[in-house]
This record gives sequence, structure tokens and C-alpha cells, in this order.
Amino acid sequence: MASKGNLTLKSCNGKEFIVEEKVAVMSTTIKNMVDVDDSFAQGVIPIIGVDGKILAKLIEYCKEHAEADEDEEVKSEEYLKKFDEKFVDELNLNDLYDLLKASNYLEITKLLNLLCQKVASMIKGKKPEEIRRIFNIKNDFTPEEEEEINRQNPWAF
Amino acid sequence: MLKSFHILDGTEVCCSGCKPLPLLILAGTGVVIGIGLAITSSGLWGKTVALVEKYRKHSILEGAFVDKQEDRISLLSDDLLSDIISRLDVIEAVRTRILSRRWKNIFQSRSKLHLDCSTFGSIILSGRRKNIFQYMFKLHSDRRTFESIQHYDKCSRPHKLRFIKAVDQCLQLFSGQSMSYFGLKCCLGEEFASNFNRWMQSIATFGIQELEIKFCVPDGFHLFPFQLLFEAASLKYLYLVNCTLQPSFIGQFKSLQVLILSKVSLHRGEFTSILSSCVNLERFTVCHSNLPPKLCISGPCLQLRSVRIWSCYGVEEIEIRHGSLSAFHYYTDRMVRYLLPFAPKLDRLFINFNARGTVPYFFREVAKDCGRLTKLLIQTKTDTLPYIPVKANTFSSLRILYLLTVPDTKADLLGVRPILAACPLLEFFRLLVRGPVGNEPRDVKCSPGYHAHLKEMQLQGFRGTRNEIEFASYILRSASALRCLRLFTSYRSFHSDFSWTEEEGYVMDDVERLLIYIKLKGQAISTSATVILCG
Repeated sequence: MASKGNLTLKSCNGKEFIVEEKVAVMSTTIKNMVDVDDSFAQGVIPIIGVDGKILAKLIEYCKEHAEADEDEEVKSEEYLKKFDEKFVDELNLNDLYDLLKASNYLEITKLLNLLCQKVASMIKGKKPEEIRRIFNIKNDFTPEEEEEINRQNPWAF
Repeated sequence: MLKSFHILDGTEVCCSGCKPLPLLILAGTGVVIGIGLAITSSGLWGKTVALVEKYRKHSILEGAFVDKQEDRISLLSDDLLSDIISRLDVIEAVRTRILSRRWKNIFQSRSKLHLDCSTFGSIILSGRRKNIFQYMFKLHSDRRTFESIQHYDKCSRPHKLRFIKAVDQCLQLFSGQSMSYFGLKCCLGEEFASNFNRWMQSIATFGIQELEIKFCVPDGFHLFPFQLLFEAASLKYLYLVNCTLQPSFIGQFKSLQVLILSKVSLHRGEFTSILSSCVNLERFTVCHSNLPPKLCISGPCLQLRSVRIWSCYGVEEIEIRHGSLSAFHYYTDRMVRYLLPFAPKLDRLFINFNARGTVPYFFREVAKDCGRLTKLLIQTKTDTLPYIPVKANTFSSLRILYLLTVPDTKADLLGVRPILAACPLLEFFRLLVRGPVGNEPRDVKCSPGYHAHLKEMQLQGFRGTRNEIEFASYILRSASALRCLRLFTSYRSFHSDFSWTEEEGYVMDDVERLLIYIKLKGQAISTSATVILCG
């Protein structure tokens, strides 16, 4: 049982995390749950579909940002920017996808933006072949279909 | 972003109304393929919300099972992929169509499209020219639109032709679909008018709601086909930069609610034509534009609530004759005559104009015509407060007043007493007098007035002078319902784009503060008044 002002989050593989409420409510989904029903605030909030490793990452992110929102002097914008950069740089592709899905589901808008931006930056400035290689995307077009797209948008290629 | 969740049917949802219960939906393989979450509340009986994320058919849930060659990005929802590629410029976003069948239609699923010919320059050109272009674009990218016009002028004809082709094909991709926003920033001049008119015609069929068009040609003489948009039945918001309009239009632009014009010449009758054609216009903003000497705000647009005009030139007289207008903002550095013969609903007025005598002129001449005014801001640079007449006309409804002045001679703050007396219901008053300081003691201590509704008084640019303290003391002794008197050493100035900036003021030490507190202590007639000294 979490003490007052704290919430307990439980991952799908049973790991429990006690976090401050201000950190947990960075997630709009959790905020809505807590707002709608008090019993969530006292009990354990199951975060289904998100495993312990990903949940720990989410909490790490939310903690930094919640603290910065509270006190701008301790954690400046510049500090947060560096933190964000480091945070996304250390992710492997699988973590990136899992975090994308989790932050979409939990509605952590800031993180979702950061992650989408990260994926976009991995696509930016690359040729289709390179993008396919990076993300393991299989080209399932027939040569005719591919030709058709090239014909529709010759200025892009 | 919750678009990927679906409401479950009632049978799978916990409806007990007291205890939350997570749902796990298990597939035959034992792998969790969906997640459900029931939020119930005794306070919201029956209002059960269930959120389920539908994993895609072939999804394998956990990282541990994933083969290194797995294409997991393509398994993300359409919304997420669309969000990702909307962060790329249009060329790169279109390129993702070739990745695979999954990606082919993601580009078209976006509801907003912005095309900028400067980004086309940096990508299409290759080799050495590419670098030059990128460098030029970098130089200009973070400056304002208008300053980057020079760069656009250097776009070559082949570059322009490529851009035209790109816009044509993008619009073709979107045909038959709905698009809520279309933005175009381009260097196309008069010679491409026919292409441009064709785009506007096809956009009118997209069910578009917001449209932004910026022309980056030096003279900005492109005649914008305003009348073609009359067909766009759902277009509510239009923002045009650097073009010209026809002086008059046939027909009505019924859907438009918000119109913003920047660098659009309006001195040949366009202003009046707009007000008479756009019958449902609610907000109208004009900036950096040429206006007629006599600007008349009138017409059949009965929904018009707010008109904002800033950094425009040519106006000498403004006449407001409009039955529904409630807010008028005007920012100019010149003297302007105001006529308000009929403005029964005008309740917010924000005015910046500079000339001698503007404060008394405003209170004496303009006041008499706007009895409904509840919020007034006047900022003027060259006035002096003693010009205020003893008998100001009454602002009988005014609740909020900002009076920001920069007098050129020593001003007596107590000179604003007639203005205060003219606003019997005033609740909030911010006064800034930024000029030479008058520090001479007055012969007679002024007697208190009667400002029964004043709740908050802000004195900005406070330096602790004798005159300022006398004024503060006068407020404390006159406002029986005062809650707060704030003395700011800093001050906020009001800008042409109607934003505020905070400026540093006088730095006060602890001894000075203490002396001010001692001087003001015990003066307030309101029992709940606090004095706050900021700075």
C-alpha cells in the first residue's frame, strides 16, 4: 500500500512501482482514473500490456519532467533537453516501439512527441532502401506497383 | 491520443461501480492480444468506460520473443505512423509511400498538409547548389517570414516548376478525401496565377476548414482569387500574407469566421467589400497593410465580434458603426480620430496611439460614445497626465482599466483622480507612468475619494518616490473594498501584436522597502487590503 500522495503502479509481469502522484499523473490515462475513482489512488493501478522494464523507463522520464514542472530552477529547460536527448539515444528499436505504444496508451503527450520525433529523425534524409534496412521493413510491392508510385510522385524521388 | 482504443460491449466490462477491475483477454495461444481497462465509479454509476487496445493480427507482444529481423514499426497504429511522418517535410513524407504496402496510404491519412517551397529547394537541388541553398535557408529559417522574402526571390524557374508539379500531385493524392488544413508558402508570382487559381478551386472541394497562404515574392502583387473560396462551404479560417485582393466581390463568403490579412493592400475599398461579403465573419485581423484614410467598420456581418488592426498605415479617422462588435484593438504610432456613432455592444477597447493630449481627448471625446465599455487599455507615449480635464465623462460600466503612459515632463500621479472618478464601478486598475519623476511634496495632503468597487490596484515602474507613495496612500484611503495594492518596480509594455513584455525596473534595497511599508502602514480603510511590493 502506498502512502498518501503516492500511487502504486503494477506492470503486466507483476512488478510494482511506488511513485509520487504528480509523477504518475503525467499520464492523462492514469490522471483520469485517479480523478474518476478514489479507490485507484489507494490501491494498485494495473498498467496492462506494459512490462516492468518499459514501465521503469516511463517512470524515469515522468519523474524528471514532473520535477521540472514543479521547480524550474532546479531543472532548467536546457537540462531537460539534454535529458530527453540522452533518454531517446539510449533506446534500442524494440524499447522505442514499446515506449511509443505505452506512451500512446497512457497518454503521456510529451514523451509521445519526443518518441515520434525520434522516429521521424531516423527517417529524415534517408533513401527508402536505408529506411527499410533500419526498420526491417520488407518491400512487398510488385515492380509494377512500385513503378506506379514513382509515377504518381516523381518529384519526391 | 486514444484513437486506437475501442469501447467494449457491456458483457466484458465490470459494472459493479465500486471496485476497479482490469480485464485480460486471452487468446488460444496464451498470448495476451488485447488489453482492457475498466474505470468505474460509484459516483458515476453506469458510466463505465472501457478502453481496449487492439493489437494487430500478427502482433507478438514482448521484446524477448521478437526476432531481430521483425518489422515492428509497421505494426504501430495508423495514428502513430501518421503522427511520425507528419513531422517530416512533405517530400520525405511522400517518399515513405514507397517503403511497403503498409506505408503506401499513411501519407494521405493526415488531415493537415503544409507545402513550403523553401524546403523543396534544399532537398531537390543536388551537389554544390544544394549546400548553398541549405546554407541560405538556415540563415533565414528562424527569422520572420517577411525577412526571408529575399531568399525566395532567388528561386529559379525550374525550382518553381518542380514545386508546382509537387503541389499538383499532392492535391491529386488527396482528391476525394477530406483535409482540414492546407498551408502554402510559396514564391510564385503573377505568372503562375492560373496554376494557383486551379489549386484554390480544388481545395474548395476538400471540405477544408483552415487555409493559410503566404506569398514570398518581393512585391507581393499576386492577385489572390478570394472569390473562388466562396465555394468552400466549410472554410472557417483564412490567413493571407503578402498579396492583393480585388476591390469588390460578387456574392457572399458565407462560411468564413476568422480572417487574418497581413501585408494585403486594402485602401481601394477592399476593407468595406470584405465586411459586406463575409456575412458570418466573427474575427477580423489586419496587420502591416495599407488602409484607407477613413476606415469605417460597418456592414451586414452580424456575427462580427472582434476587429484587430496593428502596424497598418494610411488611417486618419476610424468610424465604428456596428451593432454587434464587442472588441476593438488598434495599435498605431500616429494620432487617429475616433468616431463611435453606433457601437452599442462595444465592451473591450485596446488602443495605442501617440500624440499630445491623447489621454484627455480619449476620455473626453471617445468616452461619451461607449457607455457599455467594461475593459479599456490605453497606451500612449507622448502625453502628460496634467492634461486630464477635471470633468471627464463617465465610463459607467468600466470594470478593468489599463493606463500606460510615458509623459515627457514631470507627471503628478494624483492627476488620474478625475479618471478614477469617471469610472464608478472600476474593479481593477493598472497604472504605469514612465517618465521624469516628480519628487516635490504637495502643499496640501489630498483628501480621499470614493472608489467603492476597486479591488486591485497595480502601480508599475514603481520607484518609491514621494508622489508615488502619496498616490498609493490616496488609493488605500479611498478604496473601501480594496483587496490588493501591488507596487511593481518592473513594468509590462504592450506591443503592436497585442502581447506583453516584462521590463526590468528600479532595483530597491531592503531599507527602502521598509520605509515604504512604514509610510503606507495603517492607511487602508479596507480591512482586507494587502500591500505587495514586488521587485
